[in-house]
Amino acid sequence: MQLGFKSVHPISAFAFFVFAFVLSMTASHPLLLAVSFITGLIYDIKLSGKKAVSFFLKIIMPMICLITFFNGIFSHYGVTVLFKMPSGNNFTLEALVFGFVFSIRTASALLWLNSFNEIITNDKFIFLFGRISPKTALVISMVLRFIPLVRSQSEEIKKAEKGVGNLPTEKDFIGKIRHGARRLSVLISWTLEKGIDSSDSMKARGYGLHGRTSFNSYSFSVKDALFLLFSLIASGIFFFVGTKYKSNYNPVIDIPMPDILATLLITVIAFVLLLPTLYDLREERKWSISK
Amino acid sequence: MVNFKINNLSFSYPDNKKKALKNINLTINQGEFIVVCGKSGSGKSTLLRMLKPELTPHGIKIGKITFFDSDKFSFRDSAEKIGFLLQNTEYQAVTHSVRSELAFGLENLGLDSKTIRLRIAEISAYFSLENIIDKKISELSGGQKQMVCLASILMMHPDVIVFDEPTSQLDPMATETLLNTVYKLCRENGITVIITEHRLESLIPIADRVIVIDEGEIISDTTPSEIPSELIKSNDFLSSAVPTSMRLHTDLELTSPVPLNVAQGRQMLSSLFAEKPKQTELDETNTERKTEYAVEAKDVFFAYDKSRYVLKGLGLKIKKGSFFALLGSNGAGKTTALSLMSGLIPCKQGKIKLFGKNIHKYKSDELYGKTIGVLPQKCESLFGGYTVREDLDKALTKSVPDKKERNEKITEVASFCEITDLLERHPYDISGGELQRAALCMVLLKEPQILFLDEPTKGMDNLFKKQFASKIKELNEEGITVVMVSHDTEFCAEHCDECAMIFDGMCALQAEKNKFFSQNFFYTTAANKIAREFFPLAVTERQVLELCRINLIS
Repeated sequence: MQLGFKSVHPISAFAFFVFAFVLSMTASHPLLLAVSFITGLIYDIKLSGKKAVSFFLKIIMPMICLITFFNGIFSHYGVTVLFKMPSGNNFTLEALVFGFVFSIRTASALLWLNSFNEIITNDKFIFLFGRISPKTALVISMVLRFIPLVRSQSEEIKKAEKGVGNLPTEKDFIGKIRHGARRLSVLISWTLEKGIDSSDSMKARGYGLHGRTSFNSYSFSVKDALFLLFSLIASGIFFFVGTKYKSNYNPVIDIPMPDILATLLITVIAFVLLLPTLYDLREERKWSISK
Repeated sequence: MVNFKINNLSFSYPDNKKKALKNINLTINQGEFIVVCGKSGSGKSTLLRMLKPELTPHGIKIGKITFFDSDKFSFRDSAEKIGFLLQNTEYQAVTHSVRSELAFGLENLGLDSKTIRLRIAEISAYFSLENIIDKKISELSGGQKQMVCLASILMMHPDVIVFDEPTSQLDPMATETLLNTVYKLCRENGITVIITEHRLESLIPIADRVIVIDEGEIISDTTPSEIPSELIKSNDFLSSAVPTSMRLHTDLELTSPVPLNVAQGRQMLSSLFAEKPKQTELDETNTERKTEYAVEAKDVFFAYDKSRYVLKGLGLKIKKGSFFALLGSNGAGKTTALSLMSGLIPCKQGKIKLFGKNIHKYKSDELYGKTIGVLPQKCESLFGGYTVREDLDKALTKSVPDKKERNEKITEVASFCEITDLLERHPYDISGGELQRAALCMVLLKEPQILFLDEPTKGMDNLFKKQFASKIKELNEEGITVVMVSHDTEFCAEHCDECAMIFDGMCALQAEKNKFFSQNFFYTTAANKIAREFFPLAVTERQVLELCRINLIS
């Protein structure tokens, strides 16, 4: 059994991530953007550690710079001209700033997606979509079984062909293409042939009887209800703050100054976005103390 | 309670006049442990599938099967009461995780999550699945997969489980674990077990009934010790499949009670030889081979990751033209050693020489095919065409451009491998053993000097093993070196020239086979275990039998 946010009911976790995604993709106010970006980064690092740091430095940072830069070069709207480019077009502050805003949106969405992949495991995914119909759940599960199986078989075919001496030489391009086609055909006939065993095994265990259910090992507790509630409240707040304090970047930069109420509400949003991190930390402390 | 009552059942497949099953009369009671045996194609699989309505093949069925004394036996009853375990470990598990696989059957029956959760808890405790319950199916070993499949059947609380060669893709350790579990289920929970296997060594001693099938007919249905000895002698499947002690008993034509296991076999010999036998050794002159080495490995180290070395300074010398076997437990590094020697994984530390030349110095197209050939474990991976001939032809296209020449060569090698009749068949229409011969044919077409085999006898019956070994002997005589990884002590003792034991990444022992096995106490053949008191150097059944005969006559 897992601790912290990983143990939260899939529906609550999913609701939280939907909120985080929508926020990071649609927010226009710099404060909101900063909140979603920073909290996203913190949770990603909390979950994946070094891997997340290197992802941030190697992918996120360059991406932010590139998007900002290219938007500055290729978009020419805005009133504040910084300088004229050799092509004769204007290089404007507005385009540059909007490029930055857009890149931060993409970056925070990516950061949250990373955490999403860590938290919403295949099992939770199947549970969420299995609610649509038990059949969907089974199909996803079977596909997930099938992918590694076919991959390992493909490796096996390659190894076998090499050992027998059927592989084409490095330079022989046509041979390589032919060989690829052959490998595919072996793979297909092998998979189809053995698939009969899968269907026998399914039939033998009563597949096709009426009234199939979908099993899950999740139970909904108080903490799950709280997580769900917080995500919903935060979504409501965001809807209010986001529309009221909508910022514009074209043709002029217009950022409404937040009053006390807005600052307070944004703090609430930030708190909710930080909840998984806080919850994980609390659980870790609890269990390391009792050790 | 009677589980199955079969009256005068005959069955034939569509478009086939020959009957697959003829006049079967059979009653199976609750709690029995029944072994069904017969050579491949005898109809035993068809019979087993008759016992599971969902899997009964299409065809013409005459006669009647009554299930559980009931006239209305629905598919739902069948799913609940009769479990069926197949041999294919990869494709039997259909979902991605252990947990969902366990739940699969109960979901089909429409049970709610709470009940399923309870049963998963129960089955995990019984099977000690705690360590793997959160894993994905693709992360499990073959033995674990088969265990999960068995557990997923037991989730449904069946009364009967039918096993169709459940261990043919497992190594001996996993086989032992599975069969022990099956035995426990039968004795402790009263579940009826109906099982087919081609290796009967470990099954006959624990069975209640042994049913022998030949040509679709039941020719014997008795307790293990009552199998008529004439039948063991005359039926070539039985004569090679029953335990060593039973075979010795039959071949020596004794009248004492039939020994079913090693312990009883030892007793049998003790009563035969009250005094110490005079001659305890056979003087077999071994043909001296030239001391030219085909494969030499020296100080080979290998690690898949930083934390653990699989091989730690392996050293081996394999003589040219010999049949060499690498033995050892699971994870000892046998397969890794084979992959390194055949160049399938590059050797980074240590030296591997083929015919005195470093393996790195061979060019890739010079190495594979011409110098070495590797027979894959799963021979399906070489065939994708419409006929066996097509695949063989394609494999040769590059080296022999002339079509006529190619055909001649295929004809020649195919007749050596005894697959001439199968050349025009589809690769998936022929049996596993035949497919292996076809794969061997493909390897041999390239005329390699060294042949590497990874557990070639897995899933073979003893009859076929003999044929396979004789092919290897012929290749040896032509000067081809054969190197094999195996778990099969009986096969190695009977047919190999030299054996090596790998333990902890090193070669613990490399010796001529008789010396090799007579030194071991646990890791040796059943014949050696039975006879070691009297004939310490005899490792094969043939040797024991000859020594017994010599001493009994004198």
